[in-house]
Amino acid sequence: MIEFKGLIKKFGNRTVLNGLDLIIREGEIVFILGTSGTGKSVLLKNIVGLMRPDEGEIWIDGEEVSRFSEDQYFSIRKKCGMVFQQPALFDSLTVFENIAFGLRRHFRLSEREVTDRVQLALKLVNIQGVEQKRPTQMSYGMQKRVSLARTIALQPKILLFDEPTTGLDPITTTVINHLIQDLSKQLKSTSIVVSHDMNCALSIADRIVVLDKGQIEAIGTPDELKKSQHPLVRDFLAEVLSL
Amino acid sequence: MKFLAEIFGELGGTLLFLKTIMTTLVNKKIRRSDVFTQIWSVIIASFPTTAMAGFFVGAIMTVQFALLMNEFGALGYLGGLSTSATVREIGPLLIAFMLSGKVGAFTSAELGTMRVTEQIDAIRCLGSDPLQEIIVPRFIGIVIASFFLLGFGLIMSIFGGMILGDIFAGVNFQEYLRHIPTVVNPVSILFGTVKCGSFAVVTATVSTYKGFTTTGGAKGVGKAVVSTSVMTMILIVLMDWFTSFIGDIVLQIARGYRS
Amino acid sequence: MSIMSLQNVKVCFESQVILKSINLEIKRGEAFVIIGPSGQGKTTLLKTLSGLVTPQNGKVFIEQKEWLTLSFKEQLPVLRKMGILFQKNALFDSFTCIENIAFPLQELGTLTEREIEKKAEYFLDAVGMAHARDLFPDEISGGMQKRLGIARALALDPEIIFYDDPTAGLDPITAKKIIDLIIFLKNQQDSTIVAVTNDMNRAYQLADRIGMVIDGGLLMTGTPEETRNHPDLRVQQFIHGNLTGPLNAMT
Repeated sequence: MIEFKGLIKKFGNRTVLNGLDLIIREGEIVFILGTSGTGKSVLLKNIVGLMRPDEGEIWIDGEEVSRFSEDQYFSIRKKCGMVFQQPALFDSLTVFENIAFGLRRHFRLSEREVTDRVQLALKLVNIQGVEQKRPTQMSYGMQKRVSLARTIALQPKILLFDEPTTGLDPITTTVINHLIQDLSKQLKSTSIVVSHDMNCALSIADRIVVLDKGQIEAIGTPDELKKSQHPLVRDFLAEVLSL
Repeated sequence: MKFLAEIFGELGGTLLFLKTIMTTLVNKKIRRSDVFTQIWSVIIASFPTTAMAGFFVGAIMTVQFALLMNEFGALGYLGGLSTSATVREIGPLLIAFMLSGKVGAFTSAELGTMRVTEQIDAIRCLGSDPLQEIIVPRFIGIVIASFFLLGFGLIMSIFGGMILGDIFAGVNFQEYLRHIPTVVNPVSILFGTVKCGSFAVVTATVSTYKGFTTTGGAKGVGKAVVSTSVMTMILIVLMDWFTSFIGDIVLQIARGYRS
Repeated sequence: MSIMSLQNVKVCFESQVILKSINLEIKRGEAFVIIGPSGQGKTTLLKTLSGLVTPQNGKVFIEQKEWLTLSFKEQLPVLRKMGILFQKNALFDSFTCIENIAFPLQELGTLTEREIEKKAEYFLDAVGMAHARDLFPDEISGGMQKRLGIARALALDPEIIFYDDPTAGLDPITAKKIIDLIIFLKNQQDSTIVAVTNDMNRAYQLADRIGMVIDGGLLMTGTPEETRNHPDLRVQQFIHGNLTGPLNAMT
């Protein structure tokens, strides 16, 4: 379970998160929507400790983590898998080594087991035969998937996605969206997805959170939001509902 | 005033970073294979450059000394004096400049790119410490490799001096080498070694620090590279003066003690 | 009248064939949108049309001139009329948002300071970023950087504008506004647009004509209506993002 209490994050004199309260239950898929610049990515980065809040608390599995030292945070990060907006693969390593990176460091595995887990991760994201390629030799969509494989190879309890389908064509988008759904089920993990893909949010989210100006404007299941009269929510869903 | 504050801020930041590197080095397990890969790649990348730099530094020194010594009819001491000057002072300095330009710029560009493409964040998110994974291996790699390269450059400078001495002043190899042991004593070699070591540490610290703290996209990487080279140059010169200064004091104390 | 056309164009990178034998005409004043799966030649087609990529085979005509035979000096006046917005827009980190838009205008040297400021403010407002006037690019979000890049490209009033995925990473409200703005300015200035996008909603909204690139070839061109109702199963699978169909979802 992840809980935010009165989260405030400022950059200079600009408030990005403004007293955010939110509870995310174990095993649910939560989509976070909002116009650009309303603090969606910042929220994710606060969970994994890449940024720290100025005020407020973050509880992950019963621990208040926002004041953790960098060393204490490593144990939290092992629970969280973050998929970045950019693929963020290590250029100097092969695809295999990229995916094996976390495995080799956090688990005592034989070489054979590492290979198995890498292969499994690649199979889950639906690609094969690229283990020895370098990230720069692959298309953007492929890189995104390898990046996803690197994250899920560690079988994290919490999956965080920062715009996983941005810049991908419709078919690959569908593939990734299905992956998010399947992975959440198979790994029994909690997923938080920052996305602009309304279709996907409505079809796979358990709950949707709409952020505006660093606060929650609306929250609810897809069905609840479809019926919502909130103007911002109407704006967001206008195109999807009219089709 | 603001300018001064900026300089001291940078200096403080670099020193703090060196301290963090040291604590990581002591407290965490560093993979040997990572370190060896780094040493190897630095040596491979900079071998020709250092060889060239060393050769020409020796050559230039010999030519300069030959012009002077010819007037005093002391060409016999050419080898000894020019080697001594090169080993103690000019050699380490110039070769370190070359090396910082090459290795320093490469390292800060590489780390800066990793920073702006979120690769460093990705390491943290995979539950690993980027200092332990990429910074410390690079730091050790650069220090050890630079140390070797500088030493090798100095040997090349003797070669350069020898060859130019023969061509330019007609001092043959035997003659050139004969007086090296009389002028170059263990103390000057120790001096040279200490200098090489300190310059290597400066290059390694500044380039990893600048790369690691890059912000602001591709432009930021460019900025990091430029400030790396400027800062290493300045710090190397300062370090050169500082080591000479300390060395002098140490020598005087040692002499006083002996007598 | 065609403003750009490709005849039998073939493009290879090293030994890999990216585009094979493309024939295409872009009419003056139309908005042409390129769609297709990732990594199969969309961006390369865009770059070939803009003269950035030199094909191994075939002819490229831009404004009726055979592009590949022109010297750089002859190309220059045409290049000046083109605006290109890349996937990753290179903003000037050391300039504020308003200065980012103003800078290329100052370089032109045809406007007074007052006019430049007014124009820059107009475009900043048009992409909904008036509040970020004096912020620096690294202080604003990725989506806002994208909008700033678009404002900067549009402020130069280019006659031919190339967009590489202009709304990637933007929320649907902002994306729609950006496309509306692009269409509005196109109509006002009578410019020609070639765009690549991955978002079918945006493609329908923007395009006069859509072209679909698959496997290095131009599978179809047609109006949004024709695209929606195209008989080819591959087109149908792609625009609906279905997993099952003749296209391999693995690539």
